[in-house]
Amino acid sequence: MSRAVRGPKSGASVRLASLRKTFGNVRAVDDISLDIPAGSFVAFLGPSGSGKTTTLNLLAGFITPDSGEILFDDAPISRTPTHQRGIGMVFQSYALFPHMTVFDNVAFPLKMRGERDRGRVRERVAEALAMVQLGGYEKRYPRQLSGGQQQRVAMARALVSHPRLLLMDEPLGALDKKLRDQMQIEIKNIHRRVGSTFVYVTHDQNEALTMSDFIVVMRDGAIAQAGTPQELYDSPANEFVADFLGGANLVRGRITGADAASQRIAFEDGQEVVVPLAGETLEPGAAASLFVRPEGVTLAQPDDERTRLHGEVSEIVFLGNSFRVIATVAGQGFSALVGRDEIGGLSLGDRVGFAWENERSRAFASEAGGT
Amino acid sequence: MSGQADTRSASPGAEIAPRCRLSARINIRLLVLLAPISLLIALFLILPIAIMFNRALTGEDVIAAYVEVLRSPVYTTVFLTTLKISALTTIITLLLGYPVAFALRFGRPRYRAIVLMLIVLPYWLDFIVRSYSWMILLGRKGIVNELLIWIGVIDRPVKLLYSLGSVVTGMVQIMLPMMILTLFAAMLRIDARLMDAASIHGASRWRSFARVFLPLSLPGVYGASLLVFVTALGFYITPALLGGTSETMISQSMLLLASELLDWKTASIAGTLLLFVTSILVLVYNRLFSIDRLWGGS
Repeated sequence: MSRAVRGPKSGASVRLASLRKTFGNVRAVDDISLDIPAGSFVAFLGPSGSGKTTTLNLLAGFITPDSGEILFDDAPISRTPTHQRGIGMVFQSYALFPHMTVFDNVAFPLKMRGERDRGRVRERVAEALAMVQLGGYEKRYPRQLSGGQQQRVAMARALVSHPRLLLMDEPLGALDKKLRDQMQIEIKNIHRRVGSTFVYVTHDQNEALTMSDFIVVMRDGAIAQAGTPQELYDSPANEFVADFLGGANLVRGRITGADAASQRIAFEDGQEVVVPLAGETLEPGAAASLFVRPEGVTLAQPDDERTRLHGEVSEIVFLGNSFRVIATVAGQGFSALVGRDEIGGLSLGDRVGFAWENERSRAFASEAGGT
Repeated sequence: MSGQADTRSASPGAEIAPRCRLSARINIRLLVLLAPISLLIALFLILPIAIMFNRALTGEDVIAAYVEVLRSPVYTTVFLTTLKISALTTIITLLLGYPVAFALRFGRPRYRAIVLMLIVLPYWLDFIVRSYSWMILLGRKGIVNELLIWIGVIDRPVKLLYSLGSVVTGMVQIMLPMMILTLFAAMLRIDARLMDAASIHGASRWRSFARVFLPLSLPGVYGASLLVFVTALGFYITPALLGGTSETMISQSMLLLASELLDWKTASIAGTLLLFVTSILVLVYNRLFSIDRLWGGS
């Protein structure tokens, strides 16, 4: 019996509607609404305690929401017991059954979901193990495998019954960096091949940027911003997202005025910049941060008309293909990524000008203690 | 390992030799620390056993003496009774204790503390006190008989004391905390995420238990059962107080031989035989049930 690697089923669409969950007096998930398109790869990104893991546990059914609803393909499931939801999951600790061989671990979901035909079980297990490149390891026990191999077994177990939704809870957290980078690409490949909806929880912004179609940045139990990686990177909605996702210059100052298309931020040392009104619109006098990505910043002569900010070079870091020039602007750090041939004879202590395209900058309400 | 993708092992520790010397020094200190307890064990455990062996294995007609003990229906009966009572106690303690330990493992921490307290509480009472309280409960005019008559199950008191039932009841009550605590400690080592992993991959609560939790708890079950069984073998006070003549256990016989009949030689032979049988049982048991080695455990 030969079949296509992929069954007829594809990913499920998932909708979270006004979901709430409180532990004691901590609002772990505070009124979250979200649409996850069928077959997409969504990363929940946030620091610990932001509610991303609680959201995942709600999807899995390990906990029930206080209010709100979860819908798979528009059918409410928040009262459906975990084992009837038809989900696959990769745990942070892998949670492989230590008393079962690799084969029995991977066969477990098939047997629990009523597959009685031994030939079919063997076929599906072999298929799943081949997908994670672990063919030939069937008779090993989990503790005879390396961390990376255990991770692959966990993937195979989660995918073997072709679940329409796959949950991953920081699955690469315990691996070293090289292996993690390799697995990111592999998981992305697997996602493309199986077509299930993947929900991936991580606190690693690189993982989220590398792998996902959509990123949901979470903070204090709420969604700080949701969108494609490019949207979030290029147009963050607030200082938190700007800071959490990729390197960002955030120079604190105060709003001094605004017109129809722009607003002005002044810094302690008297410098002023004009930014487009695309970020948050703030009242004059409000504490605000200038946002611009280091790779959008170029060096200019201090007297050049393109120069928007002046600073004093405090550090020059060689990165191989470029330099990171760090300067002091209004008593705060400001960095620019500069090509090798643009660096010139720059040295520490030099006065330098920084330029950028206006639409790459934003003003955000500044939070005390932020960088 | 024939790993294909990622069988890198951690880089070997660079400074192995100095660490070895350091650990040797620590070992000497450890020996000094161990000396008092080693001395105590040597004087009060190993020496008496040596004396017992000496009594049991020397003198004229050693073999004849053993044959006589083994042939005597009195001792074989007592031996079998001892094994039977211990086995019954172990099985009943296990059946009663496992659900309690399981509930403790997954119960709320607040209730866990209270229940643990209640389990440990009887430990503060002496064996004898607890055995005597069973005499009051199970006596002809005891609470159990009165209650059964009041409900109307029986119309005159039945004999509950001085039977196999009363001995096993008393011993179960005494051994239960040990069983529960040992099982609970073993169950705490089972990762609760495994149950989540089972249920999300399609196993109902019952099947998560049967396929994942139960097998993983078996080493704990074997260990706790062995502990209870071996402890039960040497019970003396409870069968003496709650049992009749047909519930005489081997420790009682040995005491009778040694202190009443002053037949130290036969008492030593019985003791040696008990030690021998117990050791064989433990060895066989270990061979049969150390399944954790199968999946690479220590």
